[in-house]
Order: sequence, then structure tokens, then C-alpha cells
Amino acid sequence: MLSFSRPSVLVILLIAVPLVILARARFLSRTEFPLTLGDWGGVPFRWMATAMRIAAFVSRLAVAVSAVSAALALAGPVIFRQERVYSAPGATVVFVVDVSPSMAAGDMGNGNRLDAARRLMRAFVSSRSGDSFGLVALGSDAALLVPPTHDHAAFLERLAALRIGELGDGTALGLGLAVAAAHLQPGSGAHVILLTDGENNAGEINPKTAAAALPPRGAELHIIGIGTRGDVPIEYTDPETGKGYAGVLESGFDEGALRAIALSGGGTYRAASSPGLLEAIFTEIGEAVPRNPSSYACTVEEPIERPFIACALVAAALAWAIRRLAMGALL
Amino acid sequence: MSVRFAYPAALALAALAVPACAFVAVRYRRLRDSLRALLPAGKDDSRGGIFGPAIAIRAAAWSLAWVCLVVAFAGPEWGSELVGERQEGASVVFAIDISRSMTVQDLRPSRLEFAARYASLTLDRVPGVPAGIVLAKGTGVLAVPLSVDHRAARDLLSSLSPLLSTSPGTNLSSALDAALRAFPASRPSAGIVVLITDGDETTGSLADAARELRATGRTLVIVGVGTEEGESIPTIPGNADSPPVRAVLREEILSRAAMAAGGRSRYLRATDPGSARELVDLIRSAADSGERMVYSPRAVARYAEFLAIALCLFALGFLLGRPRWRA
Repeated sequence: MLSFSRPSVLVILLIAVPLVILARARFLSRTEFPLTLGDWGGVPFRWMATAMRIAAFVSRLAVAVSAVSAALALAGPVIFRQERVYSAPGATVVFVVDVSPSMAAGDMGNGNRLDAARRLMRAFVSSRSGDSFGLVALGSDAALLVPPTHDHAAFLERLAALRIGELGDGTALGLGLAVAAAHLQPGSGAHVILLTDGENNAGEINPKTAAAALPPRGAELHIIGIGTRGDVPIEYTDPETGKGYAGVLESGFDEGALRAIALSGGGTYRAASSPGLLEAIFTEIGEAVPRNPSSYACTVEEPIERPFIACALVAAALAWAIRRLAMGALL
Repeated sequence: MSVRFAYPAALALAALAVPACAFVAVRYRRLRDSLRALLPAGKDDSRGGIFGPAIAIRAAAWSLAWVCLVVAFAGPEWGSELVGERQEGASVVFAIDISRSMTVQDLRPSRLEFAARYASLTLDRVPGVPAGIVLAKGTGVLAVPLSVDHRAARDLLSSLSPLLSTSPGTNLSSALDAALRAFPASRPSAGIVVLITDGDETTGSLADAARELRATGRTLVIVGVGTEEGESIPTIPGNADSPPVRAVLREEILSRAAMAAGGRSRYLRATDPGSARELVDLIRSAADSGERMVYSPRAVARYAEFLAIALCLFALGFLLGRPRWRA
């Protein structure tokens, strides 16, 4: 909400209003006797044409806007924001995201499977400011893109830059889970969320073995199978060759295999065949991940005088231009 | 007292007052000459005295008001006030110079590898302290965000090379900016920026960035790598025939920047015995201290003074800049 750090300055505006009214009522002006010159019986001289009257009005209005904006800026406009500040580390969530080409299938509402996952991950992270998030991507290889961090801006930036096919065209589920496990702090109570639409077909590590490495590190595994079964349209550009692919993908993966991996890691498997189901799964996982309780609200004062000063400058320049250039006035 | 502007580029708008005044002056002269031509020969223009002062006063007052408005818009700052922040623990961001001058081998195996080992060994001694890495070459880039997972940082340190960034030159001030942005507002902790460099800067001003860092309450530790004798490297990368340029450790610039950062900021020479210990002790002491209130100096915004003058000048021009009719 808008507030002012020097509200007493606003008295200037209160003084200006009666002054303007008195000036309009010619109370402050000298006594004048208007004398209109013109030919006998002819059209009398008109002091201002309609266009000039409009220009004069706009220039006066611009002067008033400029003065009011400057006075408002002088009053020190500020916005108070409440920010949550955390002292305890909170929960750690590591997303392991499949970026193999099949994630480009367009069967999850607007956009492809990765877009749907990305949208919900973004919402999930934004709603949990006290927790740390990590990002692992997997294709035919796997890589840690963001270590578990509280710097949500850095996480979201990298998430936005995630591209289908950037780690090859396979699905190394085991490698992805192993990379996540390697970057977890023992006993941190982490949650590993694997988002995939395929079966393990690459990498040297068996997914069950990698999943089994999670419970000893105190981590909980959640596997989400994204996508529908049957023929789905697919369109993606290989980031390595720049070649575009479009066609129909015969979608279908072995849910049993994903369930078995979840079981090995002592976790759960959930299938998301629609954006609504995917959202419901994220809500469920959100309830399972405890929120960081150690926080306090911090009031942050954000000065916002610059837009007011900018407005004053623009209005003053406009008034000058209209009076001097359009109306030809000198005063 | 030093004055600085948050948006110095905006000051250019003040120059518009000059052509505006010139325009009014030319217009007035033309009008006065036209009026003179209408008067009978030999009779002086007494009416020029009615409008002349009014126009001059109004033009001067409003031009100055414009200049003051522009100055207010540019965000002038001077003086400082203490601002308190509740902090707990510490976070450290290593800003590592990966420019070509860091490939010089006056320290074995090279300045860059020496810097990587220095940072890696420091990390080993401060487990549990969130650490991040910013790469300084061209524009500073956050490569590893703050994380207690030091493995990610160590992996990057083991593969540092000028080839990690295609940006030319070295902008250490941009690296400091990136390092300061790496501290999340939701985790107030004692932020320590460790800049490891030879001080060879091609753009930006490290000293200015260090002064800005002081206002954020962070601590800057500059670790100088290299020797004062240095070594020559070709001006054009990969072209041994191009004229050589000497890459030396610019200690004076670095110590001056560390001093400008104030507080517990300091300059350390990487090869000095005990410098790494000093850095580790600094990080540990900040990390081990519990919850505390920390007061740091912040620059005071002074736009209000200029706005007040601008409004007064505007009113002055309005009241005094009127023609005075004489009987």
C-alpha cells in the first residue's frame, strides 16, 4: 500500500488548491477592463481560437500535473512489503527432470510435457520461500544444473533455460537419481522428485540401485510419470544440430518399472496423464514436504519516488513545448 | 563528503535547459525588434523593459527548477546512516577472475589453477557454510548459487578456464555486482565476497564497486594472485606474433579497493604465508557467531532537497516572472 515518509509535505497541495480557486475567480489579479477591437459591424477580434484555448488548457494542466507530481515525490512515497526471513535451513527438494525428446509431446494442455512440469515446479518453488531447491536434468546423460540452494532466482533462471534434448536423446534415470543423491547432505531430510515420461534406456547405473541410495541419506523419493498413452503429437528442435522434428509419438511407458524404482527408494509413484492430475500430485507432495517453520516477517520499505519525478519532468517538458512551440508564448 | 548518483546517465537531461533558454532569448529579441520597428523613429522602446525582466526571471528560475528536477531524478546520495539487519551465520561467494592474464605461469602451475586450489582448500575448511561461485570475465556471471553442497563448487573449480566464458576483457566490478546479487534476501547472513584476481581490469571500476559493496554491509576479501614481475602474454589470444603485454599483479589497485569496501574487508596476497588461514578464520568467526544485529552504513538519498528547491524556483518564476505594467 502507498504511504508517505514525509506526509506533512502534502500540505503544499492543500495550499495550492485554494490558491488555484482564487486565481480562477480573478481574486488575486489586478482589475482589468477587457477591450475588444473590431470593425464596425464586422466580426470582432477573438483573443484565442478554439485550438489555442485547448492548447492553453492542456499546457496549464501539464504544469499542474508537474507541480503535483513533484510535491508527491517530495512527500517521499514508499511501499511497505512484508518479507519472510528464515533462520533455519528448511526442507531440501531436488527435482530430477527428464529432458529427453519425448518430453516434447504435446499432450499436457498448453505446451509440451516439460512446459507443464516447469510451470508447476515454478509455482511450487515460489510458494516455498524458506526451502532450498536443486535441479538435475537427465537425457542420455545426467547433470546437476543447480545445487540445492535458497537462491530461488538462480534456480528459476536455470529452470527457464532448460531445453529438451540438451543432454542427449536417451533416458538415464539411474544416473539422474545418482547425481541427485551425490549432492544431498546426509540427514538433510531431502525430497527427490523425479519427473519422467520414459523408461531407463541409458547410463551405467541401475535406477533401482540409485534409488536405494536415497533412504540412507534421509531422502524421500517421489516419482511422477508424465503423459498419456497412445499417439500424441510431438515437435522439437534438436539443440545440437538445430534440426526440427515434428510428427506423432506412440506414447507409452512401463509404469511397473517406475513403481519398482520408487519401491527400491522407499518412495511413491504417481501417474499424471493430465495437467490437472499433475497439479494435484504437486499439491500432495507439497503437503508431504514440511514447511520451514523458523521464520519471521520483516517489513521492507521500498521508495517509489522516481516514477513521480519522471512524471513531473515529462509534464514540465510537455507544458514548455505546448506554450513555447505551439502557442508561441514567451511567458 | 562525496556525492554519487544512483542513475548518473539521467543527468544528461539537464542539458535541455540550455537550448530552451536560447530559444526563448532568440524569440524575445525578434519580438523586441518587431516592436521597435512599429515605434516612431527616434523614440526608444520603453515597453521592452516590461517584458524583458519578466522573461529573464521566469526563464532562469524555471531552467534551474528543471535542472534540480533532473538531479533529483538521477538519485543523488551523500552521507550515511546506520541500518540494522538481523543476521545469522555466514555465506561466502568466490568471485574468480578467469581472464587470460590468469593463465600466466608466474605462480605454478598457473595463476588460475593456484586460485582454484586456494578457493577449494578454503571450502574444505568451512563445511556447512553456504558457498557460491561467480566467474569474472567480461560480465560477471553467477556459475554456482549459494549452497551448502560444496561438491558442485569444487567440480567447477577443478575445470576453471578462460574458455568458460566467451566475453572479452575483465570487469571486476560487474563480478562484484553478481556476487552481491547472489545473497538471497530471505536468508540474512554475514555475506563475504572473496575476489581472487590479479587486478588486471579492462572495464569498470573495482574501487567504485567496492564502495557500493560497503553500503550493503558485506565484507570484501580480495586475494591477489601473481607476482609484481609478472609475465608477458600476446595481445591477441593464440597469436604469438602479436605484441606482448605484461600481466603483473596490481597490488596497489587491489588494496585500495579493499580499503574502500571498509568494515572487515581486507586485501590478502595469496602467496603470503597465513593468508588462507586469515580468510578461513574470518569466514569461521562470522559463521559461528549466533543470531545478531548488524549495523552497516547506507548512503542517504537526497532527492528531496533538490525537489524542494525545484518547487521553490517554480513558484518564484511564477510570482516574479510577470510583466510589471507602468502607468
